[in-house]
Amino acid sequence: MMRINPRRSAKISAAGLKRIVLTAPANVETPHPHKPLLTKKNSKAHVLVIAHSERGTLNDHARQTIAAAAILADAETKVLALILGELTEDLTSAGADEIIVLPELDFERFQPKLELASISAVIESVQPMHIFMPDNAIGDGDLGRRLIASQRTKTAATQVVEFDANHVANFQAGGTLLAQSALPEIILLAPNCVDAHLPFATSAERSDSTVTNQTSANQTETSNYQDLGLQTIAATEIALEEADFIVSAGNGVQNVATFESLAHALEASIGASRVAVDDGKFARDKQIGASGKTVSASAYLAIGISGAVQHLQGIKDCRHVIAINTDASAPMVKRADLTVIGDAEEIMQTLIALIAVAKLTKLKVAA
Amino acid sequence: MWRTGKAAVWSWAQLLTIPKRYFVDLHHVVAREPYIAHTHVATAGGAVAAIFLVALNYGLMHYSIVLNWAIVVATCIMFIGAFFMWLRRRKVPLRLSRGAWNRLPYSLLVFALGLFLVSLPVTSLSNGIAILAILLLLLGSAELALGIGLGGPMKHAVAGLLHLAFHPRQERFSSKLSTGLKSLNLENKEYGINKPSDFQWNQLLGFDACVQCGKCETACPAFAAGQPLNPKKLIQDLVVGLSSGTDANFTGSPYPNIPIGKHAGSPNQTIVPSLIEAQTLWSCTTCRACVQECPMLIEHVDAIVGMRRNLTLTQGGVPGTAQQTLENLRQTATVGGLDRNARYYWAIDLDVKTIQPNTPVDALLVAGEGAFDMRYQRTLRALIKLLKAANVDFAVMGALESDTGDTARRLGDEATFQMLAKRNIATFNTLQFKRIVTADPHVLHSLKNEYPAFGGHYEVLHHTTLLAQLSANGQLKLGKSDETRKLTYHDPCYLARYNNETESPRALLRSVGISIHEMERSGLRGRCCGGGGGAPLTDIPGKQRIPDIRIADASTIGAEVVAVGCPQCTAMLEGVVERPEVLDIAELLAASLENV
Amino acid sequence: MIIKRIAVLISAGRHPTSGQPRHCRNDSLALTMAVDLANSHSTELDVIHAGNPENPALANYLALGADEIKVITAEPIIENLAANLKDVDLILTGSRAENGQDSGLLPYLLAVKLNIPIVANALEIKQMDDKLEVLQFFPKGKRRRVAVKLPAIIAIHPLAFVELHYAYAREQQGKIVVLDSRSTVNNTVAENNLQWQIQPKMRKPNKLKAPENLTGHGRLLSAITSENKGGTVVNEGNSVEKAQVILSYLREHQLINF
Ligand SMILES: Cc1cc2nc3c(=O)[nH]c(=O)nc-3n(C[C@H](O)[C@H](O)[C@H](O)COP(=O)(O)OP(=O)(O)OC[C@H]3O[C@@H](n4cnc5c(N)ncnc54)[C@H](O)[C@@H]3O)c2cc1C
Ligand code: SF4
Ligand code: SF4
Repeated sequence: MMRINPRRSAKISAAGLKRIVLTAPANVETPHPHKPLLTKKNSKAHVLVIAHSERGTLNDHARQTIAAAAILADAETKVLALILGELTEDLTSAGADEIIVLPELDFERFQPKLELASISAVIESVQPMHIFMPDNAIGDGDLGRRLIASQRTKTAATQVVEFDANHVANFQAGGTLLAQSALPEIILLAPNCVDAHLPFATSAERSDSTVTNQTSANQTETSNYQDLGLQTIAATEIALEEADFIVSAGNGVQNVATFESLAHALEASIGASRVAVDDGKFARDKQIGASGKTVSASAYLAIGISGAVQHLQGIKDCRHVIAINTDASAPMVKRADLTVIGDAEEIMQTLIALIAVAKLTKLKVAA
Repeated sequence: MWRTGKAAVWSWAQLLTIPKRYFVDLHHVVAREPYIAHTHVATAGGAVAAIFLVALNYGLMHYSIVLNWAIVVATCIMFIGAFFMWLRRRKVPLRLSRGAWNRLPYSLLVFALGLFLVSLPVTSLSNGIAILAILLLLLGSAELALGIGLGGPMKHAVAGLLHLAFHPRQERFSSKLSTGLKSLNLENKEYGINKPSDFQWNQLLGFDACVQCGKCETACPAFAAGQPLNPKKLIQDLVVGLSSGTDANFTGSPYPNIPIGKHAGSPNQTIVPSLIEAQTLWSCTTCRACVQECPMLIEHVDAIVGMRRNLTLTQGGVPGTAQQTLENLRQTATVGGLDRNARYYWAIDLDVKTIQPNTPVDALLVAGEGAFDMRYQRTLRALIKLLKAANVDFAVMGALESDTGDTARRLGDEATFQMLAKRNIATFNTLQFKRIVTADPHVLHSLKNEYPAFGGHYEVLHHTTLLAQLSANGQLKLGKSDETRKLTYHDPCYLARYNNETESPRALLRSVGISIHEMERSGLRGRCCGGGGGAPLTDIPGKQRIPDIRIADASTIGAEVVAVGCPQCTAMLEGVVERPEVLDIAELLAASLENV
Repeated sequence: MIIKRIAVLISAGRHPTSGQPRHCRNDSLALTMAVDLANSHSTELDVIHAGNPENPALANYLALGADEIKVITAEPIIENLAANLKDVDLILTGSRAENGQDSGLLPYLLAVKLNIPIVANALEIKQMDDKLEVLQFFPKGKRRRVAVKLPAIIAIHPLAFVELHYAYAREQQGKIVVLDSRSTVNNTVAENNLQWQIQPKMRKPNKLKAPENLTGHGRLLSAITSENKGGTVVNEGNSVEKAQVILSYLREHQLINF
């Protein structure tokens, strides 16, 4: 029995959200023509990967988790991916040998009991050697912990940042210690500890799991929880602390209009240095740094910002810092993962043009 | 009335100090505005002399004609003084209060005229004139009496004189600057000032001495930036609080953006927010410009920090990123929450000693938080170059260095300050050095002026002081500077007003052939950069930023370079968009070494 | 239903750089929310720590608003906590501790033990009759409202909008009391147990990669995609080339999808 999620959001424009989605780009997606196809006909065992999809696709973190299972599984162990929510993409490059899709367990709906019962039924029927889940905030981290708590005889590790066939490791004691242990049965994986590129392709066959469909049919969410609905804050209104992609302007940005259209094109949140704020170019709540906000975006594009300590303090948790600056000796250059030396206005204009072309090309490919 | 305040150490003998302090110390402050100084000397001097003579002549029943003539002369002087005061009052500058203060010249004129007439040694005084004279005299005296009894303008005369005697910071009169901030006894649950009666009685006396001249207001950088602070109003609010009232009768400029008439207080009522808003207290940069200007020698900063202490210690009420900063200080002993081991990484290639226990050095370099700042590392590198050129035996503190706690103390977090101070003193005790040198005036101030209260007595020198000494005794040979641009020097508040050091930086610049074009506000009267007292962290909005105002001061005189001597000033001033170049004295001097 | 008793569970944290004991921020958010809720409903509040009563980190929680901290020293922790939380209507916790294994499992284990519902990633909570309305955090600006029946456990998300107020005077006034140290339960059920070994040296974790026994092209590709820190500086080229470098970087790290 399938239910259609009444709230599945047509209102969320695909473009409007994909900007911060860490989904792999479509062109990288197509299976590598030279990749050998790995088939596992006589499998004796399973490793199970459980992950929620987002609007029909798996994000980077989920793909890394499947890849992790695929790297670990030997020729006689099948990687079974249990996808919660719709799946519209192909997973042959991701490393799954077999796929079960439970579209009614969409992450947008809160139904922890039903989800737990469904995955428990699958676990019961396939008896996997290991269960992998991405430790994320779109439901898998929560569901994974519910699973661990309900199966206390199984060994488990969360927020795993390193693992191979023999061990897992994670940070403990507030990130001050790295601890390792033998490979447990349930593994919740932190993002980016696995390279999702695989040198082989897999069959990724869909199988209908009657088991689970029945389970879900027989279970309704009891009244402990009541889902009152999902809402989305407009990309531009997301608080800077939460933003995943920030374009930030400093004193080197003269033309705010260009800057804003770049932010719009990248669908990024806007930040600024104090000088730019003081200059009246941006509101006070856009200020990033010691006396402003501390941000932890995946991508931080610093345009015309010198990188005074007071500013750098605010971006110490950003993962990828890209700088555009005329001065190669600016402290920001030392902090940045990539710096482009040049005039901000010129490079912003060019970027906007390139992005427009790229988006158009993508649209055509899709059509 | 002031008795509601807390006890403070004092003795009656202090009364004897009044005359000298009155005529010397006070008029030093007033003398910065010669017009006022002269009117005040004339009016007050005349009045005091006249009253004294009356007392002598009639009180002691001399009835001497000579003395009578003297009274006439004194009243004439007073009359002239009061007349000029009236002249000035016709066009009141904004900083001055109006209301009852506008009446003052008239009452004083009346008093002088009355006494003049009565004392005229003319026997043929008609009855009519005599009655008029007595009436005038009564009217004038009423102002005095009213003032003292009911808190009118002339209250300042009595309160002011007593304030001079019982000033809470007696060192002030031996030309020591700094602050009179008392350490809190935290074990005794001393948590700063919650209500007016928590002030020491002699502080309250000081507030009552305020003449609402508004000099503090003119000097205040936060007021100028449109932040909700006006030191004059603050003092008047405390007066209102002491005498149970509202601020509705205040006739001067309000706190920017806070309307007058909505606040009230009484001696035992919590001050914040009913009498004074928290953001008023958090706007202060602790620059002490107000204290420097005040003719009544009132100590605004100690009052503000006293009230901040209560907010911080009892409610954790610090705004903005100050909360995080204090947490960083508690957890890492750095302002930025950084790794203490990394403080001197930049010096690795400079071959600088790190101090070791049992290895004595002449000078211990304590760089402070600025050492984490890539910009300020340039200054420190220059300083190291100079110290080496002068063959100074020095070492840095390395990972042993903890923040001095200056920011914590200014933000009212006495607990964290004391924790850090005790920790640093314990570390210093394991080390052997003759003196401490620092390029950060905030480090200078806390180590030199505030650590002694916790048993840490050190000779602490600002780098400019040390370099000036070295240069003067020939140990440091400086060349001629190539700097030809128009240069001005910005005095850091914590160096000038807190430590009275305005000359060494200037002497050093002159010695390398740089001439200094002074800004209008410089030396002890310099304008704050906005960086002190944790103000950049509490970040109370105004209509502009303080550093912009300071840079405007420099631009007004056409300066192309602003020389500085403080990491905070450097950071604040460099944060301004269109500005002259900002260079530390050490950088300017180090460049001249090439030309030796 | 009126909430009669609230409990908030706090753990001892450490500063990641200095290693100094401190409050765990997540738990402090929960504490502050609990104190506010308890004040506005005049409800009894238990602040509970399972661990060492001597830990200096506990004092931080006093300063942050706990009048009294009850410390449970008996093991096993979950069972003994549960025994002390039987009559509590609402249990608040942070989402991850900063000590021990930081697994974020505790609230879930407790929920199973007490057989009550749990909602994680809470940004805001609000009482509605016999339910609690919770605003849940989702990445990318998404939020979900959930109503949960009381008693329940709510784990607070680190981005919950709560201002912490650290007041020294409260630290001086507050008390730490140790609850009876004998375990009231004897339970030896396996607890997802793993033997963890602390690595003597902090290092960057190694990334798992599929063994690359393929083409040279593949190796080249992975060499480019590998995260080489240190920062590339691009000085050459015209603005189109420079802009292209940025776009390629963003694509390569999957920060954009066009
Ligand atoms: C206590 C305190 C707190 C502070 N808090 C903060 C804070 O929270 N946040 C903050 O940001 N700052 C803060 N500051 C200010 C900080 O010290 C710096 O002044 C500020 O960050 C500098 O801003 P900026 O990089 O935009 O400007 P600048 O330092 O002027 O740098 C501009 C940069 O743009 C480059 N540039 C110029 N023209 C171009 C062009 N055409 N194309 C490309 N690049 C160009 C220049 O090379 C330079 O690197 C604080 C300062 C203090 C003292
Ligand atoms: S506090 Fe001092 S400077 Fe300010 S108005 Fe009063 S007397 Fe004048
Ligand atoms: S110390 Fe400075 S900022 Fe504070 S009130 Fe006085 S003049 Fe204003």
